[in-house]
Amino acid sequence: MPTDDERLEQLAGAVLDGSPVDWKTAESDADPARQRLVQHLKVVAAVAGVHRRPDTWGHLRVIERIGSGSFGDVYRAWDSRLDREVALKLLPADPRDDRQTSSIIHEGRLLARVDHPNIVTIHGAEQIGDRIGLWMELVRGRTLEEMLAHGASFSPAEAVRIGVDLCSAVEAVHAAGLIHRDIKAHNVMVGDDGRVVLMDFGTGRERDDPSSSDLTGTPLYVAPEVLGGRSATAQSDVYSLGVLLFHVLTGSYPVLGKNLAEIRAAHDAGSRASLRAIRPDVPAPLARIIERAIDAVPERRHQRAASFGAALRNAAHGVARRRLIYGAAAATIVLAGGLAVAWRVRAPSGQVPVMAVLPFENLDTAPGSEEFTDGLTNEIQRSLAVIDGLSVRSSGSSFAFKGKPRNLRDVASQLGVDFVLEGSVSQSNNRLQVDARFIQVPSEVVIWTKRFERDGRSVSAIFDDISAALVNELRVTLRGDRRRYELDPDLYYQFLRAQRFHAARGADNSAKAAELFQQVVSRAPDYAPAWAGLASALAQLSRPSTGEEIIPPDPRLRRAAMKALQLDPLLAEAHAALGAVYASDREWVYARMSFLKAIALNPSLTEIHSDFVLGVLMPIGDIKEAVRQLEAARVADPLSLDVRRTQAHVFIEAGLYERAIENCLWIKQHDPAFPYVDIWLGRALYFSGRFEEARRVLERADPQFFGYLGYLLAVSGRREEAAALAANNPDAASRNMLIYAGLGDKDRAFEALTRTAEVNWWRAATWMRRPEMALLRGDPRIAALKKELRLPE
Amino acid sequence: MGADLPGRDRKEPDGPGQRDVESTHRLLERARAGDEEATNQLFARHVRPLQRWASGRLPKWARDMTDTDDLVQETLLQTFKRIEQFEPRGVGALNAYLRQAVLNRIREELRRKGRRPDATGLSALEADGQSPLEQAIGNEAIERYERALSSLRPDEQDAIIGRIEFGYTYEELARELGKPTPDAARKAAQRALVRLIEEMARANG
Repeated sequence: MPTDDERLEQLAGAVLDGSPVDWKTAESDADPARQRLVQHLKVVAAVAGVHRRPDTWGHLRVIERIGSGSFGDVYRAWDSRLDREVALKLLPADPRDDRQTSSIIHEGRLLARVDHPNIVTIHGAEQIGDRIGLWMELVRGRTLEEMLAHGASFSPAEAVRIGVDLCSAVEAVHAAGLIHRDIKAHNVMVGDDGRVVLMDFGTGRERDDPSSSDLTGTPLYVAPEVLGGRSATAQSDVYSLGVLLFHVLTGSYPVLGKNLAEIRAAHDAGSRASLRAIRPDVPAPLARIIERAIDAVPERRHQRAASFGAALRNAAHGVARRRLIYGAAAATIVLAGGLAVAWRVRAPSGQVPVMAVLPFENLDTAPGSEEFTDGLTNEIQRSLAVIDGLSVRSSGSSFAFKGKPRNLRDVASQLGVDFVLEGSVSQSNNRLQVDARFIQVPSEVVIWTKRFERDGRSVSAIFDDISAALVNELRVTLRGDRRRYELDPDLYYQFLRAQRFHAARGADNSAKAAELFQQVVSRAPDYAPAWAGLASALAQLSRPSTGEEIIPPDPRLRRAAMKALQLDPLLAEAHAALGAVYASDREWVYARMSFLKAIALNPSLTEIHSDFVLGVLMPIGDIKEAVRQLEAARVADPLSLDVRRTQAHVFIEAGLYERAIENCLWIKQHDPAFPYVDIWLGRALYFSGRFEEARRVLERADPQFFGYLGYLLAVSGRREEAAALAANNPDAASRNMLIYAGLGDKDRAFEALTRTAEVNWWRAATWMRRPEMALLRGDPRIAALKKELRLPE
Repeated sequence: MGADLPGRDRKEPDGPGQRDVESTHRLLERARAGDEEATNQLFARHVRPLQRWASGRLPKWARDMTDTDDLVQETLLQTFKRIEQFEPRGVGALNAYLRQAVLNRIREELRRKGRRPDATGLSALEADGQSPLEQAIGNEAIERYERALSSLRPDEQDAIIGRIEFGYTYEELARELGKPTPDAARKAAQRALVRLIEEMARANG
């Protein structure tokens, strides 16, 4: 028996030799002290695995590894005969099993004869030495699984298109006498040209080969009879196709389990998820077609991929027609209501109808009920804001009317809306009652008054009821991808409290919100809005701050955002939080994409516009886009002081000083104590040459921003005072940077900028572009620093 | 990988510098003294393994056959121009030095590519921001590995880098490390690897 040390050395030897290692056994055989060492050895083995690759394979020149799995590795290679790049898949040839080797090669050659636009073209298959190589067309694109992992969501129509193409491909595979056996989202590429391509035939077997082991696919996709030991058939491929479409639509699987045993048990117990329970917007006929493909009994499934495809193709007409039918139904209701309704519902502007949800009145006296009602109003606003063809003003602006005498004309003119929704909320015996009025303004014609009632667990159903009522009136379409949740009323209350803290902004409130959201998700881990809230609150906490040093994002942030997106890929807040994560990693392209997605999903969440501007557009210097984003935010949230302040900031960077001054004065008129406004006002004034006014404003501003005052003193001829200000605060590098710039001292300004960059890349990135720092423009050191900070030019 | 098993090394057809058995150490001494032929041989010996190696360290979007190969070639040319500045610490360490030079160049390249104007929209959507190594083990593990590696003796570093990262056969490794036989090189690499994982465990607390 070798000693533990000897065993470890042997293991190290195997890693060096590149021999296969059974890591599970190695780990369990090791004594506790060495288990960690084995784990580290496994990491080193992975490093070796990444770097080892052949230079050539037959006539192919290997360029790089592009994928790997339990089967072997896939490389990009140059085929000198075809004079083009190909993908080369290398599998180990089992020396003890010649039959298997020749079967893979035989099958590769059979597949090479299948010519189908949705199947990767196989060029050849060969064994050289101890490896089998299959080389094929190199498809550039992404797999469906990668797209889903990046938050992509697919509409029913898109899923149908994918399904029709794949059924046709699988039918061609079957016609060639093969069974695919490993149909899954990882094995389907969507090419750059939009072509859907079925890949990876390394584990396929001939149809009539009963001897081969069939458990090659990912168990979540494998038909129950195959899990039970039966051979794979065309119907088991149909099952996998059905699972794939289920997965594409929901991000989940019909039968779940953490391992093979659990999946088998779930099949045995007949426990499976219903497609429409997860995606209620999937038309029932389409859901039925997919659910037939995943029937537990093979005989009840579509018997061929072709018939599955044909059924999907028929459903495609239904999906395309659905919108029209919905519109027709709405029209019927309008007609039933008579002419009086027909003229009411048209938005006066003839454009997209714009509405506001005014704070609902709380009819209860119980403690906390006021908070609950406000939270509920916010949630109603959110649920309406995602309706296609309807524009809903932000909650922030609507809440400006809370507690004020009711004046709908004033609301209409200040918010620029055509309709308002208002009402009251009461609770009794665990039932929630919402009385709502939908009113056209400024005419104040009441379009409907309705009572919505639900038990305390089904609060989110009320949002759907209200949405449906509006949809019918306004002839807009519901974006049918909203999820419905059942939640304990206490937990929902806690969620609303968390939302309230979150909406109030500021570090303390965000911290409190994060704590409450965390409590909600720990008790209701499938409640996507709470994960999104948690992500959003944590993103707020890691927002660029006024301190000298940057605060790195909370490590929970990424997980919370990803979790929310997994559960519901259409939550704007989760995309925005992910955008914040990408921004902190300086992954600018992804950050931009995430924020744009968030804004597209819910344009009324104007803090997302601000975060996009501050977190991404300012550091990368895209001021034009920043101006555009904030103008959109101002329209959606016309009374928001926060939006106006950020807008003032951006106006200054864009050189639009007069507009910055206007904004600042507007804010001061609404709230003279709103923080930091004096800074932007002071800056806009000194850039407009109004030095005296600027000085008065900056002298009363928060003293921690003395850098602006220093800059002003320097450029207005009071250089000694400016220099003294800098000298008195030697540690405040970023503030002093402005003063040195004002004094025209390029070197010291740059040195202060470098020091700032060491502790706060975000500030350095943003401030180096400020008009105060114009003297450094074109300086090669700036270009170098940008490079250093991973910023675009 | 089968072709790298002990005992098969001699059959490897076209490993770098196979025909020339002069040790890297000797070549390096000559190169540092200004011998151009020695520099050329060193270059020829290292360029392929480093090119192969680099493709594992560049994210997909930044990779391209010509790009990666040119980048490594260019870096080696630059590095060998200043080879007299390289101070060999004990035996070897040239691999670690060259690897660092390429790594620095890659970082620079990533920063440069990161701000390419076409890195927007769809083309970036397909792009994968991580290198194959990052994808395989994640950044944290890479950092732990790198830290532990840098705490090893130069000859140990060379053994690990040569075998694990550059994929040298044991014969090539023997030549790099100045060992008399491939088997001696394998033993040295084995000891270095055990030291490496001990360091990784230590760093992990």
